[in-house]
Amino acid sequence: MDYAVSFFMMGEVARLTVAVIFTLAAGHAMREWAAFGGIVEQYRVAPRWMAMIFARILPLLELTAAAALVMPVTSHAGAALGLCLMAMFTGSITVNLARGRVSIDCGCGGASGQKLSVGLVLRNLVIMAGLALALDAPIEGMVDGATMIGVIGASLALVALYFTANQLMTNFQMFKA
Amino acid sequence: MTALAMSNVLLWIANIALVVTVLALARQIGVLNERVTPVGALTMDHGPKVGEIAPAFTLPKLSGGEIAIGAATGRSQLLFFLSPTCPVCKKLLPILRSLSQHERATVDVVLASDGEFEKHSRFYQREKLSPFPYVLSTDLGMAFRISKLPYAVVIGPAGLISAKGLVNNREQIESLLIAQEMGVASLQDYRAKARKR
Repeated sequence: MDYAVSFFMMGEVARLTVAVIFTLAAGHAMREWAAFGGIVEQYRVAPRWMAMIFARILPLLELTAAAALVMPVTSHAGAALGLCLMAMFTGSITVNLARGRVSIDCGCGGASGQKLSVGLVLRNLVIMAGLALALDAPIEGMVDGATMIGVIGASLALVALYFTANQLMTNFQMFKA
Repeated sequence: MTALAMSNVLLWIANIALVVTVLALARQIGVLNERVTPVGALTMDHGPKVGEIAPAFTLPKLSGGEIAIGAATGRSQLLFFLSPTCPVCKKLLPILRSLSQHERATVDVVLASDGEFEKHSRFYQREKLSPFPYVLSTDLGMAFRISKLPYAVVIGPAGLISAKGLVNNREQIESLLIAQEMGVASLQDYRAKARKR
């Protein structure tokens, strides 16, 4: 298997996985938008009125990024938007970790109850690495049955792993409490 | 080649099944953790006890006028301690609204906090809290030893504390009112009594 093909496949896996994660996160935030506004505000990185507007726009931006990532033609733009969003989230988390405000809700899955932690920053860095890969990967490659199976299988497994990581981090915080 | 492709497919299926199994196990641990935390409002052992006479206050309301707290008025009072910066408190406001409507024949809901007048005044207007009396008093919070928010105290018609606890959802606020109706201090108390019988 040559380099180009494997690069193409990894890009496909990355964009599909992140698209699913963004869509699910946006769904959570929209379902519990009242609590989500409060969560964004608690990050204390923007004035209240901005946080409120931002809490409404954020899910839409995530959905836009997800939709763009899924289509091959717009996938590079989607990856760029996703990278910006992730950089913003990770920056806000890091700022609050530095401030010592670790007990605020991270808002990762709506009002999930997951608190801030270094693990969260690492998780986001992994997602950002995936997006960087999608940003750089070729958008056209040979799509045959085996590639399809590999891409879909790996994406599904990674999405499930993402939720496992979140759950384990939440559990760990409960044990510490 | 077909054997190789087939084995690839099988491996993916096995891989995903395993990850999903790990996820389910992690979720179960999380659920178990939530189960062991109290389902009712958590009563912390501080301040005046249930059954004792509530400390009496007469405090100015944010909207003007005064309100008596802890007096034997013949009606029950639900004191809800909150802060404009606590998201869970905000989540509970609509619930309090519907609850006070529902229980208005017997229960008065009073919101209590402390801090700068301007900040609370803005909060009061923004969240449209005019149906509730809103008082600012550090002494009130001290008297009930409030250390965590949102906290609720139910004072009975005779001025006795009938239930209190940390509340995070509708069920927990309701549990305080039900505790009052049933004459038990808290869900923990009810469970302890039930276990003894």
